Amino acid sequence: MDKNIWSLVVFSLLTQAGAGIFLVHELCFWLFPLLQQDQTPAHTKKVLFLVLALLLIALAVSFLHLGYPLHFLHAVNHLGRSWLSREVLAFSLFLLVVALFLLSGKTNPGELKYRAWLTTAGVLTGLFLLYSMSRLYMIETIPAWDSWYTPFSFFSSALLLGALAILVSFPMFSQQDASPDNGSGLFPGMRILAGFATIILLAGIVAFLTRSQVFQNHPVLSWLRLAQASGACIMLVLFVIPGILKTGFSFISWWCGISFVLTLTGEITGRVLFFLSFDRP
Amino acid sequence: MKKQPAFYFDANACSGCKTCQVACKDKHDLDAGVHWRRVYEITGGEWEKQDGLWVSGIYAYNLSMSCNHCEEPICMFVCPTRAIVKRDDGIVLIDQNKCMGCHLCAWACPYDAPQFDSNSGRMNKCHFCYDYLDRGKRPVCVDSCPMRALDFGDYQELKDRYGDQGSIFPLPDPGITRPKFVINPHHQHEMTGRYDPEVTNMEEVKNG
Repeated sequence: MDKNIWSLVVFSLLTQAGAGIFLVHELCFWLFPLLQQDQTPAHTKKVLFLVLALLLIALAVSFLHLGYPLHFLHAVNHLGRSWLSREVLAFSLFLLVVALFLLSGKTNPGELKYRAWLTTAGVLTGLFLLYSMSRLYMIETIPAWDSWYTPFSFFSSALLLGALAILVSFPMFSQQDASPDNGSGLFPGMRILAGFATIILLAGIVAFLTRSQVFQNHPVLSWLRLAQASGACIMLVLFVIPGILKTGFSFISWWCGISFVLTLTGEITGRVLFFLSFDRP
Repeated sequence: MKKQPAFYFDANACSGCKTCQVACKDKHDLDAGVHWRRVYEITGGEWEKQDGLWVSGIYAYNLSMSCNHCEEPICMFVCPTRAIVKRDDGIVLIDQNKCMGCHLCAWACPYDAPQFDSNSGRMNKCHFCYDYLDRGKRPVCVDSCPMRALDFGDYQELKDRYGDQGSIFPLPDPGITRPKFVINPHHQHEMTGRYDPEVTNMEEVKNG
């Protein structure tokens, strides 16, 4: 696999992680009052800063893939037909919304009206970004990519990495102690997120098992990917079920962190396999 | 009806000498690894026992392939920069002033026609020697073939003259991009249905 493919692996995962973090964070903020009370403006700012940083790194890496980056301004010339053009547009809009969100300082729960507008714009552009990224690879002449698995794996990567990054961010970015004894909503909220991630991981494992051709052509990487996802899944299940991990907050933080790293490496392996599955006689 | 230039390839006449490939590289000064025209070597089959006798079922043929200047050029549809255009005369070209070298056209094309030139950082491909055509000359691959296995002309006229066989191994279903080429398949081509065929020089075609 040449460096062009590695740059696409890194670009796609960073972009999807960025979009996923934004989507899951805003989903938590608006749908789970349990978590909302603990999402301080400082926490939201740090999360938005993380998303912005991921997107900017992804943008820089995407240039490594181009043979002649000086012509990058032409990338949006073909919006009418090319999904790559649409992806570039969606990426730019999403980056703009996140930057505006961060710069405007509308992260305070007291400014819900303004935040709702920014959230709506971010969610719409984020979803469009993920959709256009999937469609870009669904080319009729590449049967391995032109299937339901492409959008499934891209959306699931985004939501999975997003949920786990937010899960890890609570102990890292939050001012509060999330221990189960202090009455904070953080700890149950983290369990909800871990449960959400577990469901996506399980669905991902089942979906991956249907890729018999990939298993046949790349058995070592396929089993590695399966082991990484299963390991992360088991760790999360042990956290989700109350009463199994009866240890301190610090241990839980490390436990979630290791689950995240294991999931991330699994996603990297999965994405490498995705690009390797490009196969024509 | 509008004229559309197309190539004709006679697999029975081709000896696999690759003069067409070399002549193309020479005329266009292409780097190593960049092949606007490629010759695939296809083999397959095995010895089999029939009524107590061992009979050869081994076959081999060549396929010379360049850009087919498709009617529905998928490379053009996926290109984000609009660098790939289909001219009024049917020739598909890559505008070097717009291409950013994203490789998407190379992935999308089922014939591996667009090739990445690492020197310029952009994609390029067969343009039917349009500079020769404009001067009334023939494409260099056609003129150089010592076996007269290649020909060119209007697609409809070639079809009328040689028939309409468009899909042989390892080519994909022509219904996807509607390529403009006409092929006279090798007489042993039908054996690809009995034994799995294989492209034996893939390393050379892709990276050589």
